[in-house]
Amino acid sequence: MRETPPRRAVILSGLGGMAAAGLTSVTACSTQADVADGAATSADVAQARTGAGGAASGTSADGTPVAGKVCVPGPGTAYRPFRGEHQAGVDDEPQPYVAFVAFTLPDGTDKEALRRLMTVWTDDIERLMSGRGTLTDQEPELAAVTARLTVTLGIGPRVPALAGVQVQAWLAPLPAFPSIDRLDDRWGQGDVLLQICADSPTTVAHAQRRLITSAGELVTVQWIQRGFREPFSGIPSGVPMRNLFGQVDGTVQPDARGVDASLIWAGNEAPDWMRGGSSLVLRRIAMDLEKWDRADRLSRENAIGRRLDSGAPLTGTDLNDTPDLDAVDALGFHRIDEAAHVRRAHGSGVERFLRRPYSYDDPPESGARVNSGLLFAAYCTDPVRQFIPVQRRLAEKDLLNLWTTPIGSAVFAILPGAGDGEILGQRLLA
Amino acid sequence: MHSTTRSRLSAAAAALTLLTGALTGCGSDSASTSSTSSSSTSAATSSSGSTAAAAALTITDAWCKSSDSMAADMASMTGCFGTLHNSTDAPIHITGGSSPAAGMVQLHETVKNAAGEMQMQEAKSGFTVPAKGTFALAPGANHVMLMELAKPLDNGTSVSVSLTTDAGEVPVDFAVRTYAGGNEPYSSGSSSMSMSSS
Repeated sequence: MRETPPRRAVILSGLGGMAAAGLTSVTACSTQADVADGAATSADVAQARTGAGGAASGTSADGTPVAGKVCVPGPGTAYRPFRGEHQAGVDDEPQPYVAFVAFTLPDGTDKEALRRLMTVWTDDIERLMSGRGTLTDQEPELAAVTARLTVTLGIGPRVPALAGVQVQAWLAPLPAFPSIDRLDDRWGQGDVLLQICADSPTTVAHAQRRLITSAGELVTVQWIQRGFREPFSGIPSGVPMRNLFGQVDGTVQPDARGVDASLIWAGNEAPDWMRGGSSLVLRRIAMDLEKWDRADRLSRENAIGRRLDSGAPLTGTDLNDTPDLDAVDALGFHRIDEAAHVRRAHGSGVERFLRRPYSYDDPPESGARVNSGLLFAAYCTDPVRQFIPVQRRLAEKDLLNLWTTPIGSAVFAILPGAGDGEILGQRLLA
Repeated sequence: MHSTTRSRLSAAAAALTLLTGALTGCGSDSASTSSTSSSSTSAATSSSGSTAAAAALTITDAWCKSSDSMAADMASMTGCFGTLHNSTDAPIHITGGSSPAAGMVQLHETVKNAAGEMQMQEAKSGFTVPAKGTFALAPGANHVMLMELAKPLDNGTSVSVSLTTDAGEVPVDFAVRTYAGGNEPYSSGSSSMSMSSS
């Protein structure tokens, strides 16, 4: 909030989907990778509409979808191509609405049934992401508003087992963290996961409905977790979301499309069927907003180790300043508390992962006044090496634990992207 | 692309009497621009002796209703849908079909019966796909009916059908999908074949 966003971005984003009403003829594909090459008007539009970091550009001459890019043919119809080395929805700029849908595979599910499920969903996802209804869709008009829809498919440990291949050591529920966890099985491990994200909640709801319907009896729904981020991109591009504590969340991120790609995407060390894939740790973290109400702003800032207004570390002035964990005050105390979240969560080397958190604010249970929290979504190549050490530190000591309680936890393997003519899980189910 | 599609839709609309607008809309437009979805277009080039006919007549968004989504007393048959495209300058007349998966393949239409209810019946005169035009096969409207299925059609599989046309045999691959609709009662003159639409 410190900076003034580019004027054009303000205008467009402030008007949301209507902003591009005069831009129906624009056809552009943008990608964060093309940051350097300047500012075609259409690319600026793409950036403004997608909220992609930096001055995204890169106009495709004929508007042909290119993997990893976001295409903007008209209002509400920005779309992310489905096919490519990686699935969409991991390293893309987070869309404001999400539904995480976990499924259980019925007893008796075999490899053939998995293949049929992936056949149906691959076709559905490709159609939905490009603005077409699914084959059986009787309301394809709802699919026409793509709103940067991404659908990302993950699998739990049962799937590789059913496919007859070795299950990765990390593809298992996280170890218990008894000092903080109050896990409810209701939000537990699933067999298959669909992560559905879009700029429009209608688009998310439609995709969710069609994907559940078309799977038929191949799956049963285990749970659905809906989340949101700030839908108005009137904040400066690249500024992370604020959670319901008011904290800037997801500040320090690895460069998933650059130097840190190997932290996010499985490479040659992984079995063939996982190369180009990733992992998702999804933790449902209840936030006690009533207790938070009783904490003054100084206590709150001390708990996180960052300023609430700017998100800057208490030792700095800018959001992106590196926290100085050694800095001390006049009395010799660390300026960033020994148990501040930013200190305890601070990871270096391999102990880093991509975070894509969403808030939830659901109807309170009977008698309660609040049911809010965070859908903490972290992506990395190997959660055992990258995520668990950090989680262990936080479980051991983190002031934020005074107000937060993990109530759900699940780990999924994010399958590699589907190439031309392939289904998701092609190499797993070959 | 858009103008091409619109003219196709116009042609289709002229050729159809039922529900045309809702059937093709987005699907055929986008399908024609998709280069990657292997299942969206079934253009036959492999079946011997039918290459020319296959190139002349293609189908997009081809699918059949899976057996598990059929009513129990209808489980031995199913409907198949899609959008037929005629690339030639002459109409193509479809007179019937065959499939290794079914004892009988019929072309069906949906009409209003004497009671004012919609019911399906065999389209004795077949389907005509206009020159350079399309013809929609859709639930509640014209469709291909597979009868006497050899075994249930499972969601996520596919089924091969050969359409018999005046331009030759046209092999078509239909994706099999779970689908709740398409339950119009069937009228073949035999009351035992009718079913509840509820």
